[in-house]
Amino acid sequence: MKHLSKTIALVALLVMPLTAWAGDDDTGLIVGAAAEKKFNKKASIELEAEFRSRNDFRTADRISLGLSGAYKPLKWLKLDAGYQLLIDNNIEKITYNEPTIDDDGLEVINYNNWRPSYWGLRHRVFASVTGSYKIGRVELSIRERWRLTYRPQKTTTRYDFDNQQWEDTQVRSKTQNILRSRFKVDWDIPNCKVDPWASVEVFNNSILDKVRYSLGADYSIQKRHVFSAYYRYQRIYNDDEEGNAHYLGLSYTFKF
Amino acid sequence: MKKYLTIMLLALITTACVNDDTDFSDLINGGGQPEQPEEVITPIDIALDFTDLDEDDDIVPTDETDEAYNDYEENTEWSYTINVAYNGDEVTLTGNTARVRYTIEGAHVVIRSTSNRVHYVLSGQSDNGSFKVYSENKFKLTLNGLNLTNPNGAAINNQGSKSLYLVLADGTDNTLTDGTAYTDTDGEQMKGTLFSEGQVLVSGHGSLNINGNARHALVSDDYFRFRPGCKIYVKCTTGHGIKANDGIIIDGGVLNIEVSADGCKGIKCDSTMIVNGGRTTIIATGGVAITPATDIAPADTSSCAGIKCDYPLTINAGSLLLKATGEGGKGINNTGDININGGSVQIVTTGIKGLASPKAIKGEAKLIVNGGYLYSYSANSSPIDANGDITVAEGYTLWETKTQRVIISFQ
Repeated sequence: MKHLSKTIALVALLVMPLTAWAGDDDTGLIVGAAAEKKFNKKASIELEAEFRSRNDFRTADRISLGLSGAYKPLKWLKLDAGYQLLIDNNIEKITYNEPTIDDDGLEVINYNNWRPSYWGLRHRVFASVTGSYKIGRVELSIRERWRLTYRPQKTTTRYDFDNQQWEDTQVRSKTQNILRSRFKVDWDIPNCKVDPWASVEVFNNSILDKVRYSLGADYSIQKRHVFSAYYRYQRIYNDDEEGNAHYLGLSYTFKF
Repeated sequence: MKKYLTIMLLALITTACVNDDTDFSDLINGGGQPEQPEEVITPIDIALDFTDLDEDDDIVPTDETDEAYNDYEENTEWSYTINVAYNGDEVTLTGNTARVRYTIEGAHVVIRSTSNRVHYVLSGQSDNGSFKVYSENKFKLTLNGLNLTNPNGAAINNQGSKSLYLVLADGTDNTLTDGTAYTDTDGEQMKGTLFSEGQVLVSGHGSLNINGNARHALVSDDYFRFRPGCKIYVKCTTGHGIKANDGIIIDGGVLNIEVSADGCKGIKCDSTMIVNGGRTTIIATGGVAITPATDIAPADTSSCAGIKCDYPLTINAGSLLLKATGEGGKGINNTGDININGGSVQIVTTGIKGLASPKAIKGEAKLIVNGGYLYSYSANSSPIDANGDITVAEGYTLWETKTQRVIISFQ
């Protein structure tokens, strides 16, 4: 019980300052778990699951399941590819008519449609190439990842304020290509189980889409259990559905 | 390790339990259940209308810098006339035939021309004939009492990319019909009963009936301009009534269009469409067309519509009367903005709601009403659905919104 109280306090200590500090930006949590099977020094596969929240940690945003394979033809070169099933809680969408002025001269908001948030599926495939270079105990790596995401058409409901009725609405299918470019620095501290790292990743969708800045640390036990904790800031440049956000990330990987 | 996993688990269960939707409970009654229409409204009757329209002739631009200058056949001196007279299985060419090369097979005529200022006058009747032109220059084509059927393809086929001035001789009735199966020529397109690679500029005070039995009826891979005085009746059982890649301008005339195939549109315009006058009536009776899924694409559905336009649709004057009766059939289905600045737009949809919703107006962008008269009725869905804003300018005399009907009037 004592341990549980301490743990709750620790989570609160991590979450509360982040929410307060974020200001107008959103805050959320990313929790992941993965199992990695190495066949030899070159080939491995990984099964992973991830959960994300938004709305200052209060709303479930996404659950994903993924399977990927990696191959290292050279010590400094890694190729990997995989598939992810994304179960998204799509954020609400509100459209407006022209505002009007009431008798008191105040502007009145006139809603047009409200489509509440809804759960939907997306399918994603990716392939990436990672090149790394070691300088002493510091490893620099660059990863180029191509990502294709397909959202099937989905029928959901929306409220039509003009006609005061609920109606079906079709969310169209959509395919999105993204090129992700990540630069990462890993530091292997001698005689220390905690290895800090930092990365910056740029998302390009013909124009700059978003940039992620991450700072974290990995903690390994007997090379089989790897725990990670990190902070991530996501700056959005071109996406109507996402806003700038700060994330607290926790993950666990079991290697066998 | 246990402590870390406990942190992760607690982090999960202490967050993500709250919905972030805006609370509209004070504005929405019924707790999320669809409400029944408040009353059953009987819509206005929309039917094809072949009566004459009292309209002024348009003013032919005389300034060569006017971008419409070249759309008027009056601005070209047509020096060479070739008469093409059909008579059953035969056809006779007379006049300045030396200006062009031509072949005749039965009543099928193929013209190859490098000459400029050539005017073809087609007349007579044939159940097995056609008129096909390869021209490097614009040309004028007058229909002077022509009834032409090509069982194997387009009745009139312009393979040149320059302007086709289609003139309906005053007081004449003309009919073009295609067959139910086309014999295509390699490397050429033939999309309908009257097909033109170049723009088609329709004028004259005659009438033209076009029957589409295999593909579309009236097609330009460029644009159309319809001028006051022309009377056109399009009936297509297999495709769109009028289809244009680069735009449609209706300055006047009486257009009656009937389409009945699933997913087909009375007018399908892949660019901007402008209505400046005339009276256009469209009846679309088809249901939903379903495109099966393939290895690379999911299944898709397409409902019929009076007008489907992928760019801004602007109505400045004239009358648009649209009726769709099939499942999910729409009056106007527009990807670009819909601007109603004047004129009269009356739309009735009576189809059921199934794979698609039978809206009178469905806009992916804005609906902007600055003037004129808009009547929209949908028996089984909301009449207007604009994903962008609906903007109505100041000065309207009536703005009535009911479950099945929306009327906005500046008159």
